[in-house]
Amino acid sequence: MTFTLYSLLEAALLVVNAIAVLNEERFLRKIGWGRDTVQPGAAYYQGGYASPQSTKSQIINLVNSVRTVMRFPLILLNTATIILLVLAG
Amino acid sequence: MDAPSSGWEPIDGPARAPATSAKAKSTKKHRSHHHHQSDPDVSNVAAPGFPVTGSTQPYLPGQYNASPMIPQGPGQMNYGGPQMAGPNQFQNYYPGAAPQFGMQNGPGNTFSMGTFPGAFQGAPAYFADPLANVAVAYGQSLAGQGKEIVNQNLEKWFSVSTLKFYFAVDTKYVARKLMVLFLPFVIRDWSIRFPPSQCVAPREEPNAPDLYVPSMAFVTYILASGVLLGLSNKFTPEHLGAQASENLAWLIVEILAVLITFYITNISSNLRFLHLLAFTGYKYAGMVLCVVATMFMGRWGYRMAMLYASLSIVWFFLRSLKVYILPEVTQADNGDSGGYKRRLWALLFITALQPVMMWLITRHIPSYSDLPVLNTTT
Repeated sequence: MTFTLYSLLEAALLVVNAIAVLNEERFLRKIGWGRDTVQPGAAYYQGGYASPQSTKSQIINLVNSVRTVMRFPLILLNTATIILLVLAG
Repeated sequence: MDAPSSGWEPIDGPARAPATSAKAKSTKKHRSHHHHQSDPDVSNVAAPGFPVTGSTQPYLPGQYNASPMIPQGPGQMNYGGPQMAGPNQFQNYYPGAAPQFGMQNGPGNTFSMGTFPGAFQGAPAYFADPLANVAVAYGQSLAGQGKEIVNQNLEKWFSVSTLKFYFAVDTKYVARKLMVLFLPFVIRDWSIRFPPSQCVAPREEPNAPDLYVPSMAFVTYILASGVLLGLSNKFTPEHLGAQASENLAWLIVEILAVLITFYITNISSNLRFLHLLAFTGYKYAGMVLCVVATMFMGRWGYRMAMLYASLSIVWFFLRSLKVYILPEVTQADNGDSGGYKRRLWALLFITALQPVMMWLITRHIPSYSDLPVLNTTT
């Protein structure tokens, strides 16, 4: 088992895909990781639920930004990887 | 205000104007036992204005921002020593910053012209044919522009001009660093005498991180694992490349994990990318020890060496990174009063990551421990 740079790319692609498929409404909000808990002026935030500096709000922001930014490039990357794996095994 | 940073201009010895060459020669003579004559451009990097004979001034807060006339551009090194005085001394150490002082060296100062676009780098006129001279000069200016473009693009990822700081080491520093890595409980003084945000050459500050020891340890580890495989009659040349890329991939994973940890816990530390690269590369010295122990003492040698290397790298990390990550008592806190616990957790996580990575990478080593070539068994 050698862990090549290509395996690193594959693993990174899978992780980013996993972050991208987290559904905002059906999942994140149910476990309290919704986007409205960190936006200023939100209902939760009024009660000091998650300050902007806390670890949880940083993770939520990271997840949201990854999903927003990588939504389109992931389509291209996944297509390219699928074609590559189908052709090259 | 910002000069483009191309800190790679060589300091031409003979082309310097005589006014400053006396000063440079005197500092060179003081430290002539530290460096060879073959690398003149590294010897003048980041030295304080006073001759270094092993005793440096302790860091007194408030003295470092008093260095005059060095604007902080990207990639500029603010190396204000406590006894810097006058602009004349800067020209020996900041080839990229010299033109900001109004060309005090005069027409003999060839190395200050490199920051102007399209300038010639002291093009010599070798040929009698003037057309060939023009061609040579044009080619040199093109090369200079290409170098500028490469440097500016690399600047986005890490600061290229500070890269040479990390390789400015001498034998005494390397010996001390190896002792720190293998016997960290012997060292009493872990403090860094310069402020951690400032770039400092490891030659001056024995506790500063460098990139020479990690890269040498990396290559030594790959070669040592090749030797171990060869003793088991299982060596192929592809093994070297496979090991190198695998180790590089693990290094990238580790640095990404550390960076994400810093982002999530929202701590602003003085650890830049190159510092992180240096610190994560230090564990390769322990891994070389593990491979050598496997060669001589089999599986039990590997286990004992791994235990010892893990303990020493954990000790080394805790003592070294304390300066960078945990806020000092005298330093003013920038708003996060609850940050101490988070920083402690981040530091502990990074430190615990090291032995885990060491074990992960060298996991396959003890399987080669029975060596038919040497006829030694466990």
